[in-house]
Amino acid sequence: MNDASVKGMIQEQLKDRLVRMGMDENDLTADLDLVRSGLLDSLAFIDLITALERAAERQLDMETALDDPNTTTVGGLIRLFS
Amino acid sequence: MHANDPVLRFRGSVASGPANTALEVAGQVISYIELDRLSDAFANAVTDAGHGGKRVAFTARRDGPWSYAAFLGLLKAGCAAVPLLPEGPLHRWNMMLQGADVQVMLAHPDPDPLELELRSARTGTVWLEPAADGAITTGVDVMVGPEAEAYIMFTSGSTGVPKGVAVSRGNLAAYIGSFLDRFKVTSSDRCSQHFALAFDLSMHDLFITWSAGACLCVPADSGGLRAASWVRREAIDVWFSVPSLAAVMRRGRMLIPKTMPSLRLAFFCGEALPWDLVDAFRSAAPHARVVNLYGPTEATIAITYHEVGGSFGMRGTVPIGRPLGSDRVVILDEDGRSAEEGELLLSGPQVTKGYLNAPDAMARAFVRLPDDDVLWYRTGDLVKQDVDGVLHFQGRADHQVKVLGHRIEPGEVDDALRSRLEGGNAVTVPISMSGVLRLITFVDVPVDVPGLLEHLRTVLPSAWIPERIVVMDALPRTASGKWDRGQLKQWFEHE
Repeated sequence: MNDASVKGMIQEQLKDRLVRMGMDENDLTADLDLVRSGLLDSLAFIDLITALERAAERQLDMETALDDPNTTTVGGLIRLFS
Repeated sequence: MHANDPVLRFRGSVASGPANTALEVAGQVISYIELDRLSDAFANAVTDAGHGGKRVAFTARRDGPWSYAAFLGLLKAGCAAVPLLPEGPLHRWNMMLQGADVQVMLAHPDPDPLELELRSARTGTVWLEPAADGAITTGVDVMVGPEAEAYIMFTSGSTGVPKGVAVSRGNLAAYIGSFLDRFKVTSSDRCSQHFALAFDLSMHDLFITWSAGACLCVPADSGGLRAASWVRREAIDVWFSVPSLAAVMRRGRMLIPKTMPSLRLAFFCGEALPWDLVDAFRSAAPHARVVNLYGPTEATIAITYHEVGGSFGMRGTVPIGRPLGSDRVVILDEDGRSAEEGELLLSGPQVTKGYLNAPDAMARAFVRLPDDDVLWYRTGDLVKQDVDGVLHFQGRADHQVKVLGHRIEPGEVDDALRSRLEGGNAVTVPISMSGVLRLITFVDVPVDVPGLLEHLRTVLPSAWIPERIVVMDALPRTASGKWDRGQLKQWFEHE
């Protein structure tokens, strides 16, 4: 996947969640932390990562990936999957 | 004072190991003697201002030692701690402060924007700022009896107003005594602190750890995304969380065999504990004794326990077990007769005196039984007692649900929406979405969904906000005229 397709997939997956928090896709900037911002709880974040894994047909070493605090940001996810 | 009073037990731990570590939070390592001094500063600030023994609220943040010292300092001053969830919302804080008639608050030295808003909104409140450099004088314990309030925590109320539960020093002492009689936590243990401080299970974290002279370890991330590597890195011995946290770890493939070898005891509480989750957790923590705890806020932290033992491959959920201490349980059927299956009622030293300023809820939930002069708390939990006397959780008598450990009355969401629906109706139902309960709200009038969600965010904490608001032409009713929640669930699952 390239940067745009990862970003597009994040937007698609978070459609309902953005509405729930009164945000829109313009708020999904590279440095937005999806968990700290309250947009996703940890379980929803894991679900997002697994959806991205399926699309990229690649499994991460989840523990190592999550130990990097950037992984929960939009930019961090794009770097991991593109 | 009760021998297991939290302040007396803390003083005992200071005396036996003053240099031992009491708290590790946000990179700071704080010894028992330091925590004693830090909390003295809070006790002094409150008593010097003439507010000893009163209810004192504060935003209970987990990003430094401040809130931890505040809890302890308030108890030393004979006060009742009223912790507020840092995320708000402001409207709910105000309802809580009003419901508990709080006139005194602690001002955080580095307040976040929401606390500043509260300060400008509550000008009639006394805001106290404890000296940042520790105690000037020491040893200001206000001696209080077991009847004195230790803390006030709020539970979701179906009428839209959170209900305050006052837990006494005696209630808390009874829990500490019963728990530590049954489970040995020692001064060399490192104990987890996962729970939000406005949630009563966090009181276990603080006061069991400090009564045992152990070290309370606060992870930077509370959602479980980094919990397994944190346990390993920090060599945590004693774990306590909601089952959902372990479910996050399992879903994220972080329950890898033998990766949490340091865990010796693992306690779960706050929602039903599935056996398959226990198996997954034990494979990662092979040396851990796993214990399921059960208890509502109204009966102080946890009142029954079931030790998992060596059973593997069981189905369903772990029993809630038997009373930890001397509290009594009774099961009543729909006709109010003692039965093996029905609603669980609790009575004993851990059962609180009930709700603040909520006489209707109080009369419904705290009752007297024939031939008995004590107060019983009706839990609303349906249980079944097996031939060995072990209790098994069967569900709820009402619509209350647990969403990621939060106790929520869906009616509270409906009530918050009512004024915005111009006579329309709202029905919120819990729906399992990829194995997790989420709330979905159905309404029967055309509405501005983003606008409604915005309104909800100003009055309810985030866990209460529905995943989606679905607009329907009409909401289905059952033959008896009630909302047909089952049909709504089915409809949503087929969509």
